[in-house]
Amino acid sequence: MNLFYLVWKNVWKKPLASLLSILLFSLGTTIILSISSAQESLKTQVKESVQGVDMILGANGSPLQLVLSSLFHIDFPTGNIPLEKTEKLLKNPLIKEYLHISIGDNYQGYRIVGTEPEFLDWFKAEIEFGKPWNMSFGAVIGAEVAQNMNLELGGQFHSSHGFSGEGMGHDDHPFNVVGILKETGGVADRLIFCSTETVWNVHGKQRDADSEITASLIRFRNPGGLVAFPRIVRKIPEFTVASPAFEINRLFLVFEPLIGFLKVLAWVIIIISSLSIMFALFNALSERVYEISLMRVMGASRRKVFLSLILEGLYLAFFGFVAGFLFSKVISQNLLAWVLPGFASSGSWFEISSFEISLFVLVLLMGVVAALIPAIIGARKEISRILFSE
Amino acid sequence: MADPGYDLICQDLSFQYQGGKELRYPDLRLEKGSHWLIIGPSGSGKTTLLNMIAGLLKPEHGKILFLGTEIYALSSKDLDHFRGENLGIVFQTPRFFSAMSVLQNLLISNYLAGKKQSKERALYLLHTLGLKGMERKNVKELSLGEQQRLSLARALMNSPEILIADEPTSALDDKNCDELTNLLEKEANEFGTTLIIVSHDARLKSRFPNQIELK
Repeated sequence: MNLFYLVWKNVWKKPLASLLSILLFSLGTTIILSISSAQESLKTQVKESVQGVDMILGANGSPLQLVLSSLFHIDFPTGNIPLEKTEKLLKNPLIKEYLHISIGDNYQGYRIVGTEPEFLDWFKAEIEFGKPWNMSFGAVIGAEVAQNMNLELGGQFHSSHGFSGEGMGHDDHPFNVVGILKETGGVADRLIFCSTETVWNVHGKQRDADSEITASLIRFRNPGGLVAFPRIVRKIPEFTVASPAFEINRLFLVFEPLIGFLKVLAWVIIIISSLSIMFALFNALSERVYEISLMRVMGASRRKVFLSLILEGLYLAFFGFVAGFLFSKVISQNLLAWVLPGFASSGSWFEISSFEISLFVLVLLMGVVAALIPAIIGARKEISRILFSE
Repeated sequence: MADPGYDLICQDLSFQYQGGKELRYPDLRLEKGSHWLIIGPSGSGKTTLLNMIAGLLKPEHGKILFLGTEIYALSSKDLDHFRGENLGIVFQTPRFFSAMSVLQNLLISNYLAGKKQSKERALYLLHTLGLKGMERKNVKELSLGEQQRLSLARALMNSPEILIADEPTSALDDKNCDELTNLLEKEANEFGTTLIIVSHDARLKSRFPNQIELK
């Protein structure tokens, strides 16, 4: 028996009112924490996906679409570009290295990327089993593909046209799984890699003067390339260049007001929840006048009565935060994946950020503030004539 | 002027509510272990006297010496503590912490008075007061008579010097009234507690020779 227990009992005497307060607190906490964590994860993921790709050369179209399709593999490509013309363009002293990618087919919704094995070095992916995709129709599959499609080394699958998994099948040319990637937590988990030649072969073609690829990822020798190279490309109508960093920043700028609005909304909910605690405690005061008097008669000081009411606000805020914290962890582990398939949350269950700690303190403070006025009134109550008969 | 022979000395007490008539009280000297019945019609100031003795209402004049301590000279916090430690009260309407069990309602008496929580004493008191086996029940499940006995058990948890019972029998039938009065006397005698009963219950008059009549 102690004050914590006494208050604990009081909190649960009115379970519905208490649950409502806790729920409101947790809702506000959940929204704030989920948004921040999704924002953080997205930024980290994006940074990891960009991996020093300075510029992307692709077919004429939207630069953002070009970035999304060739780096994040979420949008449709802008089209194809002629290989010979592209290689001529890329023979430029500004460019340190480049990597072609050819996309357009899938296996059960997982995109097939025709590219060189250097891709793995560029994007820090490692082969866990097997070897890279040097030979024709050899495929290396991402960890998620392996798991969800039940594919093992030596397994075979047929690709189909498009990205949805329901396109026309390429039934004549089965792929052989020659390698499986280690889990990266990034886009590579959901991709299937093969050589550029394989992509052509699937469509019954060989390398010739008309061969096409989808895009080229470029690294410059120095930042000057970011300015100079686009000038050259802009003169050729069938090409577009896009800087991933620039496009992504633009994308974030679009989201910013929405995120800001959601955060304000979450704070409004937290404030409403402290008001609900305040009203609940006010309401309870008139019923609780006997218990407060009992406490005093039995030896509790006014300070103890005050503390017990403050503690009640603290309890509600505490449990609200804890519930909200857990909800937000569950949500942020999954939210990104719902909104943008292929993006996983980078936060772990056990990591507690400094933002979470400061929000915790703030929420507790709101609990104290909510309980303050009822606590002062309760503590100052004159208890004579309450318990004795008239 | 500490006087070891007396638990409670009231001198020259008076109190006046705003707009009410002034209440004057006879001087009281209650010996340790003595039993008293305070009687008087309503409006005679019985409740006011109880509040003053319990340290809840400061008299306008006069002083109260409780175990030799002038209680209204204490700080508010010390007075709360002093009351919890030395005074047990049985109220006319039994009031409890409704969210807690019978046992918890007894233990909290120890806790709030700043004393060690004694489950043994709680169980012993429940046993002697005929509430054996009820310690896990919620107080709301008890009958009125049982609640009044629990109220007595709680008042005795800290082995108080003085036990005050405010109209303890007014809601009880003859049988329960007799039973509770017997228990009050028995427990007070067992622990050498000074007993003050405030009542206008005619059934008690014949049982307590020491009577203070307020007019």
